[in-house]
Amino acid sequence: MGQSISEFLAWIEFRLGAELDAAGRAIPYTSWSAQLQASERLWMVLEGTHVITIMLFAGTILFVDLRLLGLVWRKVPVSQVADNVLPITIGGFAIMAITGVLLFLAQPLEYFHSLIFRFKILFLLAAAINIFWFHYKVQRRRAEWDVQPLPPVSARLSASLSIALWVLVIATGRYAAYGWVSCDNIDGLAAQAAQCATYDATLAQYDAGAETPLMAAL
Amino acid sequence: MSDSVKDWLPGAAAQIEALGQTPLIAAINHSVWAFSVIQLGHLLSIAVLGGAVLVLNLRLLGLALPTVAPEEVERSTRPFMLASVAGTIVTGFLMTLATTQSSLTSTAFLIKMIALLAAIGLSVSVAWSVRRPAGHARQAAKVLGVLATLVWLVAAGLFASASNLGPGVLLVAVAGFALFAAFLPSRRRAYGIGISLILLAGFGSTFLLAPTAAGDVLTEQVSIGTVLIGLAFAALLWASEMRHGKPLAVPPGRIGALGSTLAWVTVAAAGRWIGFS
Repeated sequence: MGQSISEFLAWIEFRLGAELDAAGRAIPYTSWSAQLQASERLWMVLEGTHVITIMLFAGTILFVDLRLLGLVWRKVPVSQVADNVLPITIGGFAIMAITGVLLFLAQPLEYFHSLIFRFKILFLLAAAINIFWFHYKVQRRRAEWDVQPLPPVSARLSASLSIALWVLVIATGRYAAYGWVSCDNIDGLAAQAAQCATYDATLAQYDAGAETPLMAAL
Repeated sequence: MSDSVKDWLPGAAAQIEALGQTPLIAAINHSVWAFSVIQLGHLLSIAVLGGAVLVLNLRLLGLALPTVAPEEVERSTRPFMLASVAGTIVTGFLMTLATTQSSLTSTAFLIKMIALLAAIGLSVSVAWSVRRPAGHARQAAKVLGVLATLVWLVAAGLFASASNLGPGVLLVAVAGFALFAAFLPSRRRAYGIGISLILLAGFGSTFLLAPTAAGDVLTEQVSIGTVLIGLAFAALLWASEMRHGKPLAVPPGRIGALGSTLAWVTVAAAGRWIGFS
């Protein structure tokens, strides 16, 4: 499956929207993905928006978590804080997700095979699971502790996990952007975790101009 | 003459450059990891700062926590505000010392410093007014707010006129119009649809008409379009208020909250563009 995803992302990065030469091969740097990567100002707007929206998204979710930890607004029911602040947090998340996906599409193959980016996705998934767990398990009995200054252990645990996981998402996001760790300079277990053999195979197919069945189908 | 700390304050720039030569900074520059950890600390401080600033200001704009008294929101966000401002300044100062060659000659860095002064001034002014002081303190909060707004206008003007920083200004403009639209009592939907249409038209026409210049054309169209639609709606609002024989009534706390939010967004945007330019 890694191979299919890798080939699909390579198709997005090198072929989608690209101009073709007489032999039907993509002319380098003409795909939409390459244009996005090369379009300095559009890329800057996306990246700048992605980073600055951290203030809106992470900043507001932090205060909801602080209420669940009993550290702010102890006299205000948890439901009021959640109902009032979370819509803003979700708006922030939507902006982060849209700009994040577009930034990913500027270099999809490299991000997919970046070990640090894979950790970021893992932490994002963990944060999502934590949200679902909170929503469907912890919050089901919220009426019993809604007005308590200090919510129960399960709610505090979920809030602490939320803070820790979003810090990790921000940290891995920051380090993924440095590009220090890529398939060009890792081996062993790290290279296996990033599926670097698949990355090399996908690139080799493009360099040789060979079309795999998947690429032909697309 | 270009605009940078080195051009505006050569004496201070020389002193900062000298500090940049100290063993501690040399060690930070020598280790890639040390610098990256400081940068991560800066980013995390910005996240906390964003929360503290936005939660209070959105409360004052009537957009969040309507049942919690503004004084209570101000009191509970204050420690996070102070800690995160201190965190961004300490990490930011270290980053500046480690990159004096590029930061002191950068227009974006100069803009960030001016906007930072304005943002701190506006936040202090907002915090003072929320605590409902009497007499002189109330006047002082107002005067500080007006002065800080003027300083922010200098930063915004420099930002808008700098040749390579257009996309950064665009972010500040969009944040401003989004906030303005959010606290408009009516016509929010029309305002939102208007901005969305401008953005969609910008994207669509750019990729159909000039795909190779996508980035540049898009930014230009969107900036101009956003400014125009913002002005149009502001004018519409003003006209409708006038028709009812009343002046535009916006509570002072709201203007401070709007200004302080925009000033912090300017600090963040100019900061990001130090790295780009």
